[in-house]
Amino acid sequence: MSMFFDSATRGPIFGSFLMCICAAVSGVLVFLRKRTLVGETLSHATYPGIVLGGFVCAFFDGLVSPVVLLLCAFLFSLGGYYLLRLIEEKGKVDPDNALCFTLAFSLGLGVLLASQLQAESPLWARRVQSYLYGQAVTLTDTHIYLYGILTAAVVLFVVIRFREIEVAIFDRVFASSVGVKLKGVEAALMFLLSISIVVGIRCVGVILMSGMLIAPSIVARQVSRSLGKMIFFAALVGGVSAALGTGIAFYYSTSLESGAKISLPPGPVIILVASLWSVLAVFFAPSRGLVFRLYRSVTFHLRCQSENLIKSIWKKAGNGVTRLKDVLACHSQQKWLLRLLIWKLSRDGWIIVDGLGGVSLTRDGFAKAEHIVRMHRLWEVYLVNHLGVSAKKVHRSAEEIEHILSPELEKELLSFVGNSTHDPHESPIPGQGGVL
Amino acid sequence: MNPYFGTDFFGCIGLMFKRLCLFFIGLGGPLCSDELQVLVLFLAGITASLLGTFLVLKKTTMLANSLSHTVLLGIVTVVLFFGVQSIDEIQLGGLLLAAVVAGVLTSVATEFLIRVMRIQRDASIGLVFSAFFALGILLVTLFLRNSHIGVEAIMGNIDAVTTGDLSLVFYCAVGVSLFIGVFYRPLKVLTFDELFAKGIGIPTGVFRYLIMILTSAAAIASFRAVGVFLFLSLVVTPPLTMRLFTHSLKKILFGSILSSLVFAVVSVALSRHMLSVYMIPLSTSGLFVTLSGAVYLGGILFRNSGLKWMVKRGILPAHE
Repeated sequence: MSMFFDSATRGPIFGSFLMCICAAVSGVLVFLRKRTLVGETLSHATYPGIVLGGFVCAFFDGLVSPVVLLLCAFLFSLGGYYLLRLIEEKGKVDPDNALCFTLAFSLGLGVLLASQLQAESPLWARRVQSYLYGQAVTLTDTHIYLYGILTAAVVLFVVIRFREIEVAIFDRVFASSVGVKLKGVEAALMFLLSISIVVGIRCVGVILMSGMLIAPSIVARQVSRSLGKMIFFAALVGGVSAALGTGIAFYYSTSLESGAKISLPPGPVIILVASLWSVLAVFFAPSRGLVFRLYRSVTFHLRCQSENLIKSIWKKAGNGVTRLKDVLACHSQQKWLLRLLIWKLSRDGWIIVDGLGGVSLTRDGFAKAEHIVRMHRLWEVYLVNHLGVSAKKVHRSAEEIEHILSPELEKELLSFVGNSTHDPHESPIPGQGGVL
Repeated sequence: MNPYFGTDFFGCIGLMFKRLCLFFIGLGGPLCSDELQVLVLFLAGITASLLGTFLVLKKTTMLANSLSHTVLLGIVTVVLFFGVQSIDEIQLGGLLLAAVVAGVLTSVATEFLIRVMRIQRDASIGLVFSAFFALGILLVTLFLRNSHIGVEAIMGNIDAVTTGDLSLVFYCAVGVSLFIGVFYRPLKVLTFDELFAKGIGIPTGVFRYLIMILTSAAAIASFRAVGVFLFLSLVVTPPLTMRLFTHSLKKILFGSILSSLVFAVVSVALSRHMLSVYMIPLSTSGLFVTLSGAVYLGGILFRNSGLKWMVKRGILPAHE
């Protein structure tokens, strides 16, 4: 905990926190445009730029500040975007292939330039190399201010232009009809993306930058439904993972110094922490997570089964008593599952099981059974009379819909069905005044 | 002593031609570094561009990009399983194991995210490869006790290629050529019309996995020579370039092989030339990628204006 306040570790931890907030915010925007892989390509495109910046720095030798590196990286990232567009439009190439080519080409160019820089100035070559996997450990308070300002600018821009961005992302037709300049917004997004990438590479590294754009967005998408909330959650996840990851990398690098000299690169650690969040979110997020979806489908399935049980008791016994064995014989499910459902139904007060193997419905159970059958038969009438489905085919659909129809839908159905008293198979509909 | 020391561009090509001819008829001495580089680049180029043709035409090159990241996890498996101490020690068996692990893991994880978890396709691909690459880099760094491996994975280290690398790349090239030669027809159908392929009973899933596994095998074999990202360039650039000028699958395949040969020789000779004449040590694999990429970009620009020019002169009909 103390490393968050120590002056040597404060820089890296807060610096990476700020940098990754920036990446996460613009990551959400490209995520919703379904073009996250553009982020991957643009981050790789910065590499030759950084190497070129290394040349400039080496040439002027201390006369220019390392901000030149960032400037060159930014320009090359924008250049990468234009190259991408050029290939897609002029070469009529599929976006995936264009992305892949641009990515590989810029890295190749970077490697070529880097080999020359290595010969010219090994010092700057080493510094440039550290941008591949990030070098959060050497961040200082000055960096916090620099990156803090850039991050604030990006976030501020998104906040001020929130409406236009939101409309342009979610409804392009509407956006252009109310006068939002789609091309302008698109260009602004790419501009933001490039800035965020340049801000982030010092911390996460060129190679893994795209992970920082994607992972927080996935978490945010799993837990929220509006753009504002998504951006907030993504920023939170991005920032926290960066701070945690840097902390972990820092801790291990220092503690291993006595023995083997292995320093963990911070970029991969940060990405792993962020990916861990998104794996958790993918499994356990409320309403969209896998576990929740499975739970919902299992409970729905069980509810259908127990409603079917009530229904068959109603059919066998009506208001009276019938043998449990006969009821169970009508159902093909596993015996233990049926026993369990019977036990639960009697505990919840829908049915009464007596000691002699007989079973009967309670007053509530009877009402419920009638309601289900009513839904079933109303639906059948509706299908036959209004949709012209053959009476032979409606039973299966009604078997499913009887568990789903809500009171509002029942009202709607009644307005169609009117005063029919019998279903297409000549069975009376409960509650419609037909004779049982 | 390297016989290429001090030669210029054409001298290098000439000498190499002579020495390789002698070598293949059994009269030459052992291969020297420059010749190894040409052969490794050429064979890696063949392997990559043959597979790349199908990947490019199926528009799934971003999956190849994923693979080029995730092969590191495969390599980690080999390190754990065979107990190798450095990447040079990986043999054919290890290569296959690593390729299967990387290929299957990547496809399964990505498909799982898309199908079961309902995450959008681009984000699923991105999450899988960045997370696996991060994990791979960390594990390789820790297990091999080598903190330069991350940089080497990107740069490649072509000056250090050995005959071991050559044999790995050779096996891959032979394997992939055989695969494509034997299954040419189903692969062709599969590439252009997957639904039809399914309809006539081609096991499309099996072929998809085989292509993924072969691609990761090729990526691992060329890992030390050119690095994973430059491998990606070998995959996409030649087919894309050939695609500009022809519509025939066979022509794309053979054109890609030819361009691999040309660029392998030119980049090695040019890098030697720069070293001998200007004393500039340039990365050979970087040269390879930059040259072939530049030719492709030139092709895009040249093709459009060239077609216009030909239409204007009446060489081509106007609707082309």
